[in-house]
Amino acid sequence: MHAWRTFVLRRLALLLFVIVSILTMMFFLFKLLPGDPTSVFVDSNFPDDMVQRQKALWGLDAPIWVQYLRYMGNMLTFDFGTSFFQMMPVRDIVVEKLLHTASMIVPAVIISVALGATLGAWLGWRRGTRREGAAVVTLLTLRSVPSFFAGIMVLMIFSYWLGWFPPGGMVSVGGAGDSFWETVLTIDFLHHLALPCLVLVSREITSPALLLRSTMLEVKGSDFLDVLRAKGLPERRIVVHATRNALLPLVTDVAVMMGFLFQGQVLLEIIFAWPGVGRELVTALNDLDYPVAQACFFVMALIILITNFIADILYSVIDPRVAYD
Amino acid sequence: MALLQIRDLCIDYRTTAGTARAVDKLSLDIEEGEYLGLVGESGCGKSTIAKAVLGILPRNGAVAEGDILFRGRSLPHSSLQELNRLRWRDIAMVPQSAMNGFDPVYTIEAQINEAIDTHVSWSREQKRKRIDELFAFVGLERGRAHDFPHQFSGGMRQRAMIAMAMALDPGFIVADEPTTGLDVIVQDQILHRIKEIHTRFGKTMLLITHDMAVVAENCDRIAVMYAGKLVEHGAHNVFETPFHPYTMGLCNAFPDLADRGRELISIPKAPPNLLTPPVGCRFADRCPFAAARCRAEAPALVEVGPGHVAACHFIDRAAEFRMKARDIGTWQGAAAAA
Repeated sequence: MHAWRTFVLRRLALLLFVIVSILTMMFFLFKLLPGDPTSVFVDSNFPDDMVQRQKALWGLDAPIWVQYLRYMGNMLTFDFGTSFFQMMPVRDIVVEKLLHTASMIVPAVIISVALGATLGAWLGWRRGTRREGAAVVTLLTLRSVPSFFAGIMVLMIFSYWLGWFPPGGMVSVGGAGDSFWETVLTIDFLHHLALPCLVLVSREITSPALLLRSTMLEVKGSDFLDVLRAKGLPERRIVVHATRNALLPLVTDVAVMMGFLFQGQVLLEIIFAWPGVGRELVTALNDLDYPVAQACFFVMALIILITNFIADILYSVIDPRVAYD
Repeated sequence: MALLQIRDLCIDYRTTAGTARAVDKLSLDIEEGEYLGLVGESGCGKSTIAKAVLGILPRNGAVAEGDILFRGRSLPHSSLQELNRLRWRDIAMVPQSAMNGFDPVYTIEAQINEAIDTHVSWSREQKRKRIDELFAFVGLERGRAHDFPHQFSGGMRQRAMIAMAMALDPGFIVADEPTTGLDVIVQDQILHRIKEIHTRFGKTMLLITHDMAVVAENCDRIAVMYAGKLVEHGAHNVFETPFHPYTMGLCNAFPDLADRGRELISIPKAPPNLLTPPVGCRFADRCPFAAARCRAEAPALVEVGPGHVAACHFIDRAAEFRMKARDIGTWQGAAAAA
């Protein structure tokens, strides 16, 4: 137990180090970005002292290391400043967009992992049948379809031709509730969620399914399955044992998948007009809305780091053989 | 009636190169309370028999002909449910020590409990007491039951396996090469435990091994297999007065404490390919005493003494063969002649 605690603490320290490194890199990257943030607010025809006053107001006249320390302090306390355009705290904007993205991704991941893992376990157990072959080919095809193409096809078929689902957005006009949960827990929301979720699932289901199939094949050769059979366990229980062993690499896979989905859904969010964090980032960069862009970058990086951290910890809990040193 | 009756058993493996008959027309009885050692080289089909008894043949293997009767009931013809009722309660196994017989993600105790829970409904207290007894018997520290298999050494794992096999007090235990890959001292301890199951609890046992010395030291009866066939079967007279040249060869290949000066002789060449087995005696190709008849006609098992059978055309010359078999030149000559 002591070893485990040290392991967790060391992982935490490492996490903190990586966060600080990323923030530092972001600070200098944004300094290097073309375009002066003041130019958005101060017309170049204005007198020079107005520009200076604006810079002083934002602290841009301070030496760079002072700026860096202030920036670090602000970011680590999640104080992202005010958006240049929306004139509201960036934190509120990012939290809202993040929830929107999550409302699309989390259901898709849950469905993908549950269905994909079950399918993969079954495929591995039934290796060599004709159905298994057909399923593998289908999965590989689904995996190779780019999401913008799948998105447009799905929109064309189910929205434009069949008219079953709305073409975009999270809710119908006027359908938004007062809080996030009031918005999300409606039939209208699910109706809007169906298509983007379908596109996501069709792609994300392939990774757990193919992964579990191959780990299942490995586990199937294990000697302990013979002993379980000799113990008189029903087939169902033996499959559970095999699956439990085959599931281990999936934990890492799911964590990485989660992290990537949070940052990688720009295309889907644009196709389905989903007001998520990916679309917000693109808009912010186009508008030179630095505080929003910075916050989006930071939050995405943070999510990847945290999901990986959770995967590490979880892995050490479910696989007793993981050594903590 | 014998506890286990193997009747004209044939087991085939389908391979990409064709069908290999790993066990060919083999008949063997194991009496209640007997400790039988089944010996032979790797690939002779001895483990296949163990797997067939337990119903855990690999997917490409199947009982093609013959039968295995346990207390008169056919095992290969039982449904999975019927088989599962017998398993572990009546027939348990100690797997090869080289095998990872425990599921790596559950504790030892959980896996023993699972074996118990599958067949009987005992209270938690009963199960705990049973594991106390089992661990005391195999000489493991009780506290270690909560460990995971990877925290055990090879020898400890095998002790835990013996404990698990004993959990439901089965009448018949199959130990398939239980000591391969363990060091000699641990090997001896494990074999001692297994023998104790037999002597103390009167269990019927089948020990599968390639080690003649192990069988000589532990078992009541011995069956020698070669290339899917039973070649000799009997009590201790099998080592003392072997009738089959293969048994003589096997005895030569292991050291004898009573005769320390004796040279160890190995049998040259390898067993035949089971995809295309020879017509005559399967050992003919390696046998220093083989005649034309041996290559043309397969010998049947004949009685050579009380409860002692052997499959050789020349059992009447066995005494002469035994003498010659001690000479290393005899075996090297056979290798050179072929």
